[in-house]
Amino acid sequence: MIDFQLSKTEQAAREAAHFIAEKELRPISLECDRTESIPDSFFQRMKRIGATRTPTGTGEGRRWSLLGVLASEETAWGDAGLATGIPGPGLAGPPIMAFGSDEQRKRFLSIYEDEQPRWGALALSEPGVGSDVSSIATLAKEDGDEWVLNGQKHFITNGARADLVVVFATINPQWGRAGIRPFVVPKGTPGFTVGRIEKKLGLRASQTAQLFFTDCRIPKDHLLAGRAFESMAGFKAAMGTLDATRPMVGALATGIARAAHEVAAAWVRDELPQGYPFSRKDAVVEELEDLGARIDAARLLCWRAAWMADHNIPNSKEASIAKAYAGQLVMQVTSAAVRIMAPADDCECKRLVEKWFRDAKVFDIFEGTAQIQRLVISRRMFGDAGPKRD
Amino acid sequence: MIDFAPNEEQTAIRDLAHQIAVEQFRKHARAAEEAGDMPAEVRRVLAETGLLTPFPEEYGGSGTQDAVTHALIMEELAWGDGGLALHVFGSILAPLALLLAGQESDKLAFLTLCAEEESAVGWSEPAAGLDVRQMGSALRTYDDGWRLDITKRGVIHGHTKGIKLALVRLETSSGNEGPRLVFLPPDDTECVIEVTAEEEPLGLRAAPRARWRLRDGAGGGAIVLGLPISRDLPDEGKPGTLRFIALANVLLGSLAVGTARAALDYAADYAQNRIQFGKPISSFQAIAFMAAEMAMEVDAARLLIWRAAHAWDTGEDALRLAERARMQAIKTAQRVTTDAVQILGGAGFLQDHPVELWMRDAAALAALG
Repeated sequence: MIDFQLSKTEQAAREAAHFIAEKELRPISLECDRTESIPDSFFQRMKRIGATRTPTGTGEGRRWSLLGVLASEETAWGDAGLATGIPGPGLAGPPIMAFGSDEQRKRFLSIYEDEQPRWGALALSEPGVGSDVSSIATLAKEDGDEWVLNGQKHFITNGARADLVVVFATINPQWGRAGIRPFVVPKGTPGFTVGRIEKKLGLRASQTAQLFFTDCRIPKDHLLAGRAFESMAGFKAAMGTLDATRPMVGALATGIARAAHEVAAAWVRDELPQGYPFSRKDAVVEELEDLGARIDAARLLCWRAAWMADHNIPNSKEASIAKAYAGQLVMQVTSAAVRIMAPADDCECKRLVEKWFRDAKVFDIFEGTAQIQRLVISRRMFGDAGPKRD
Repeated sequence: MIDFAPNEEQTAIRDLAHQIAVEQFRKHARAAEEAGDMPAEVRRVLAETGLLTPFPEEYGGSGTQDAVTHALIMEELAWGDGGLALHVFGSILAPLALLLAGQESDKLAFLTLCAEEESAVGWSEPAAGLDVRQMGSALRTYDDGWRLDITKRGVIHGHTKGIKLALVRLETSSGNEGPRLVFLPPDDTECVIEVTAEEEPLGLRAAPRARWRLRDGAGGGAIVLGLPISRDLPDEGKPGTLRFIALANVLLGSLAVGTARAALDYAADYAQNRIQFGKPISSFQAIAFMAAEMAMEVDAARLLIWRAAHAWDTGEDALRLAERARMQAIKTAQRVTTDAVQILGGAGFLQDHPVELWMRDAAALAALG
């Protein structure tokens, strides 16, 4: 039956995430943005509290996607850049969960249970491969008991600090998407080096790295090849990963939008300058009202996509809708907030709003651009009559 | 527990509404628009389903629905035809108002009448639209009686000889006491509403609408629904009226979602079959992306409606959620129906296809307030 009531566990998880966002993330948000880094003390505290970015349990009956979406919105309300730095398997979690064997899941994910803060990363993009995942050039060659990786990845969140990276590479470039496989590469593997850490428009506290693989040898059993393994497994793994992560990315965008909306609405309510024209105030109030409703809609779209994932209902279209809607909305909300608060005196709130505006843009770009989401949605709508892959 | 799937009962009644939408509303939409009313055959089929009488059987109804189910039904009916769906909306408003805000005596006296003759509720106003906080219509009570001022527009079935209710704000010696529903007895000679038909509206013509005007009415037997005789008794009229307004917003929003979905489905289907440059136009990204955006907006609008309806069902204060959802849904309907006409191109401009009708319907929905 159609129901929007969170369970007690979900409600508690959401409140815990909000508490952490408010007490731990928001206070250091501007400083970390300025220094483009996150202090070690933050990681230690997150580890001690037991905060994790992506719940990846295997327990039956738990709604892991929904929990991930709830936590994502709250932490992004605190700071989306810091949220990406919270220790845990991160984006490496979903492909390992979805495509690793039981033994591989245990082997790779158990390291996240020890005392040290640890991270995971997902390496999909390359300098020449953005939206077009099927033309991945990073090559994996079989050599005895090992795979040998050669290639370059970029835009890798937590790439320099990740304890393991799930790398998508091709075992045969002639096969196109059928040749793509996911490999687990541990930090410190000879031949695996980290290049430049990118300077960005926003999300500056988040670490975005270039990764190089030069004759990088990993054991055979680092190829994620669980039950779902078949000829298309690699591509499916990549796409399946996106179906699982897009609702969470949408929820991060929703969290930023909500934060910016809150601050702008409070400013309009309490701090409008003397003599601000009534007509202009009415227009602003109406704009915020409209955006507020759309933020609620974005949240519900993310919840729906996560709910489908938790119930094993195919959700490519709905995941893309959630991500596209929220990604577009967060730009609208943050740019409106910057414009609305322009008359405000210099204050922390104003700086936060301007930071969120810079942070927002990437949500229309990563995990599939706005255009790629529309491709996914329209292909689901039209099937063979939809936009073609050439 | 979060759930996005209707239960079995909801699915069954939604399917029934969809069947009526396909077999009756789609079939008779143009004729209904031409006639400016619901064809007798459609009315007969609808009456058999009980969808026109959503109140308890003890008052001659066919059973109540929760708000989510109301929303599901209204979306399906509007998917069939917005004008006919608005006709239904207009028919169930007064029963819902009596049910939610009326005292037992009101229900006993008037609900059965609603099953027999068309009823009407005056809601939208020339200046305030559907925003009940800004309503000009008022019932003012004085020591020696009361005065009633009503100015309404877009009153569905406003010409009826049956039950008439109007949303007004109640003004007493303690000031504005918020919105109330006032019952206007049909045989009251001192308190006669001036009814003017709204001729040839832009859209939704199958639901006949009128303007109501009453200046300084007095005497007779206007009844404020749910208002206790004594000040010491609890006033059920106000919370009931607010719940009624919230539900009415949910219904109107669902009507908009159904209209938008109809346009999306039709345009998507057309795009797959329309061949230009040797390919279905749905294979062109310019068209496919428009369709994707339409789908996003329709889903977003529907979820806001469901969320508001669910809040209503759990007894939360749903008014604000419902109003916001209704406004988003109507904006969505306007955007999606207009884009649907664009996807059909020249064909969309012709009455050969229903999208021009839906575009006018969405605009008429927005015009309601």
